[in-house]
Amino acid sequence: MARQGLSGRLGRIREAQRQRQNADVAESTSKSRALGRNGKTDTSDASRLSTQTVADIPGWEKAAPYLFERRASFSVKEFRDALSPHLPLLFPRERESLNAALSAETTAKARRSARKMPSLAFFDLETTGLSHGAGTVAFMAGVARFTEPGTLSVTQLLLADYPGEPEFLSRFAALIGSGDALVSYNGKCFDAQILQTRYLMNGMRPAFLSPDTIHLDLLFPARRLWKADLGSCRMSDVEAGILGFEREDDLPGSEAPDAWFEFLKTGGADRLCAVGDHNQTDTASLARILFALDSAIDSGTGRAGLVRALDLRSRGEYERAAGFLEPLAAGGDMIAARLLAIDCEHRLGDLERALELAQGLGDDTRATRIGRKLALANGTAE
Amino acid sequence: MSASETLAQILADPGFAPFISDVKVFPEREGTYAPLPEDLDPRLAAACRARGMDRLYSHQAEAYRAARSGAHSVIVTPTASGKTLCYNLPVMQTLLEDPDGRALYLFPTKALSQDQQNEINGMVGNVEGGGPGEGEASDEPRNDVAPRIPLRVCIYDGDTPQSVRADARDKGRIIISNPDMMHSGILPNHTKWIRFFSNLRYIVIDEMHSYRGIFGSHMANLLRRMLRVARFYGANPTFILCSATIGNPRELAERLIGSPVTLVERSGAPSGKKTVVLYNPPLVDAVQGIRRSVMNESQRWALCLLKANVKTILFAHSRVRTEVIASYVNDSLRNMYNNNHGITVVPYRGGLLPLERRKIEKGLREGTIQGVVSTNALELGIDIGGLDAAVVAGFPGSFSSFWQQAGRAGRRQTESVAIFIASSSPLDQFIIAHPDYFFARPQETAQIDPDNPYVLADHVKCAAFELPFSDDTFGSFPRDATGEILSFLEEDGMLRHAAGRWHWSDRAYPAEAVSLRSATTDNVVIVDMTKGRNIVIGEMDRPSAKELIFPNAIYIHLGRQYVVTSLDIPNRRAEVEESEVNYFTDAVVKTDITVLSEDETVPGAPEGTSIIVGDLLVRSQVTKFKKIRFHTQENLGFGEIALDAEERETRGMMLLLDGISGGEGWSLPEEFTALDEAAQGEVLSGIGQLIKSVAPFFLLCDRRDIGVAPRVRDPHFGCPALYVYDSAPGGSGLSEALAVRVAEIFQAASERTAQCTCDAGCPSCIGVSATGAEIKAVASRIMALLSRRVMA
Repeated sequence: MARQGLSGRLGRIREAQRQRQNADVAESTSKSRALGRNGKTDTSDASRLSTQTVADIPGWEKAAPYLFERRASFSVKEFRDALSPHLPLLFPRERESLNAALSAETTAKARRSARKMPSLAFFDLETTGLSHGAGTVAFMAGVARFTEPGTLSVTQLLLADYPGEPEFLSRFAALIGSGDALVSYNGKCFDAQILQTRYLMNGMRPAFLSPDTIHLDLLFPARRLWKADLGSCRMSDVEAGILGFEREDDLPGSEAPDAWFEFLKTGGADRLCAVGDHNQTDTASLARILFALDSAIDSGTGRAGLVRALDLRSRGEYERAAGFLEPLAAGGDMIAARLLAIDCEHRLGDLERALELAQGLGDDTRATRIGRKLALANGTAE
Repeated sequence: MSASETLAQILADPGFAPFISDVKVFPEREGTYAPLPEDLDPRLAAACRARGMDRLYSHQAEAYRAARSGAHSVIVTPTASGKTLCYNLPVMQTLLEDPDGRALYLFPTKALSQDQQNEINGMVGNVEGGGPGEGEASDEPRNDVAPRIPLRVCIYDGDTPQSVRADARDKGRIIISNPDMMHSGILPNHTKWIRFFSNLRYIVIDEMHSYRGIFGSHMANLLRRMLRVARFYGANPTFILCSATIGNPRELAERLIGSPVTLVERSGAPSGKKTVVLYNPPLVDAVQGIRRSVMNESQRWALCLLKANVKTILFAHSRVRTEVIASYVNDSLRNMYNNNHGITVVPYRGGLLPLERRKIEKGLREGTIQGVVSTNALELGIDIGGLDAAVVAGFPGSFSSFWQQAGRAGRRQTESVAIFIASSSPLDQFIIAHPDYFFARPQETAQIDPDNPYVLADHVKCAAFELPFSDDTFGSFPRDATGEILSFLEEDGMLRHAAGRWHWSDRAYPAEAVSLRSATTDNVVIVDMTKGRNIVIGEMDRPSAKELIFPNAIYIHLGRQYVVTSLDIPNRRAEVEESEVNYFTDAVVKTDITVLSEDETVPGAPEGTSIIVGDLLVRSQVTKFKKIRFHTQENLGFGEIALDAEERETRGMMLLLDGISGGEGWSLPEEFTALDEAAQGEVLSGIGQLIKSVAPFFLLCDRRDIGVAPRVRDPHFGCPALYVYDSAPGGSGLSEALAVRVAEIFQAASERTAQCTCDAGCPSCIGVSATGAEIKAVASRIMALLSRRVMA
């Protein structure tokens, strides 16, 4: 038997649900909220109007019917002429390809002195949700590159409505280019997955999504070096704790989806502009954080010393490793102290220092054993 | 002593013999065979031979041909007829030919997935020896070594560890999953499954008969979503569906997948000798029609069989009953001197934790457990090894279900017995009175309603998240309704319509909020607070919770009794504490009905009545509960329940006794009009009980899926009316199906009251809430009139 009037039922069920909701609202809050609800239905009419002509957004330039773009330059005081040869130590998965890229750059440097850096593309996305599902869309992207030493140029894309997505994506792919190293913050788990989905859904296959592309996700090394000091390694924590700057009037990233939806429905761009600034700062910070990591690993100060020391030990260079471990051990780093104790006892033959360290660690077994060795050594010497 | 001798002895036992109303022996049956298909890959042929299969059953060969031709097919097979081979063979053959090809196997539960993976791995040689082969064509498996078949089989469900998921997605050739995982895990993330969807050749849906009612309506919509995604990647998979015997396998399959299917239904499998015993417990009160309780009697049978060393499964209907019966049986076996006769009996039901279930399944297979008391949870194809006897305590609600349960005994083609213990319910007594009808196996039809507005709206939402709808392509979603839902969602701000496409425009992940197992998502967790334990011991949907775990209710879990100390609906939490009492509880539910629409007047209604199908708003409220003493079933008193009413919109069939349209002077019988209103109400309620009880004879549903509400003076229609409605919100196709088969249903109901020997109404006819010789007489008179009029 054919069902009749399914659509009539849908309308009725919906009406009933709405009445129930309205009743709830009336119960819990004042009448003004209920008016706000009505206001919401009005805005959906407004949204239909705004679909036809996308309003201007202050500070942004219309690049295509549904695409806005803006550009800005920043001087990055953390900039270094060349990346440290030790940087790959912080990216175990990309280590080999990064090593190759860095040494290739050195030879390229000989030929074209204008380029001193591997060409890095820093990127950050703002999305409509946190799930990786097919319904989550990237509506804003920031892509940054160094145009001159120390000068970072940040290009941002803003999707003004869904139909502009193919344009947004192809422009993004053009900005990223190919053969570069990508740099992001938590982009491996999130942003890259979203991009995979978006390009696939639009039937596009940009070169940069190939598995050969080097992608440096700064979240992991940042955690490795600074987690002990900072506790949390969200980007804003790293900025405050390591780069030494606090954002002013920053819109929390979690509000980004609503800001965009609000723009779609009402054309109101105030909050969206704040998201734009947030994204711009995020993108620029990527470069700063990369250099902060680079300088830390190069000098081997703090936790980075441990990373350097482990690398040297794996190559049998215990003496040089001790140079990094000493200051750490002196600063109370237990792991460094233990490694140093082992090396002093077995590889470097510095039994006095080994004993000191073992006692400091409360490692009685080791201390007793070293004591015995010392006595033996002194005995034979006499 | 041989099995037949043991059985003969039990059947002659004076404690049982006088009450055995019928014994039917199904003789052994020879199989019909066909050679292995000519195009079969030599590796597959070798694997078949290694497992003792030199030839196929005829239906396996037929299924192979159908699936290989690319036609969608549905295979109806009895238990133990080698049904897995019906789909494994064509799927594996195709995947061996197409090295990129993929297949999806969907099972209704995770437990079944585990079982199937073992089975297939046995086949492809990933596991030494493999799982036990179901329905081998020859009895002696040979030990030839079969070459390994290079097909990776992966389970992908909620229990799959994150670490192996990516590998399963990219490399799994056969993915075994369940509808829930498909719904919330795979489809919303389809871009991770590009290789899988692009190469999807087959979708196998086993246990198709379990996709009925609301679950089936969800399944149909899930498949609509799946096909949209598959087509997005350019795939056009072939469906193979398998079902237990039901009345309308082709119709159900076609409604589920939305395309025509080929039906394969002639089984070529041999079967062992099977004895089916119908047992009607003795009357303890002939006047009131009360018989000895099913629980006690089934327990007596089980004990007797177990003590004779017969491995036995006892099917009870409710979770509570499995627990109660298992504890009765174990109490009776308790004997410290011989370690309870060396017999272990366990309860098995939904709501047990997965680990507890696995342990029981293993115990049954390995023989450390001799008896099990189960709900229909074990009716599906979980491998529990061979059992010799099945005791079915009360009609399980459908013939399909009964034969599945009976089939649980003797899966290995050995001699077996199934005993049906009749309860006092009208359906059970009808069966005892009509054994021929019973054995002729009239088959019930399974209903779904893919266009249930609640279900449809939920899936349109999920589908929009997965791929934007465009204005002119809705896939297999119904065009008008989908368009309307999309605009509603846009109004709510969840979608955005731009350039002819509907884009998901909300930060939420819609599949999370939709459960396939109910029309609305809402579960209450049950927490054991005894001595501050604070352990979750179970879950229950919200409407059931109000009827089963209200404050002061007795909740039984794994044989332990708990008293509910609080039910916190807003926080979806019930707290219980262990307790020792001698009763269980039963809620009394009151319903109010508002007619929302009268969509269709059913042609062929009895003269003087009208039957209308339309939408109803049903408000149900639990107001009080009964305390019922164990064993004696005495009512120990009432308690109050203070909970808000549940309100839902659904479909219903309205039977109006208006008595005006009759051309030949039909009017309501004077006996009826002469009664006072209270009595008239009882008559109507009696008729309602009758219809509700016999309906499951014709429709694949449970009594509980049908609600009945009598109105002596209906405010909407202004005449006596009886509402028979679908318990599921939005309807699951039951009301429409009821209206179509109203003639058969009225006739069966009329026969039932006419044949019942009680004086004044009993649980076997008009129920217990309506009693009195006069009431019964009037109810049967009206029923007779109705059925005669509808026949004419």
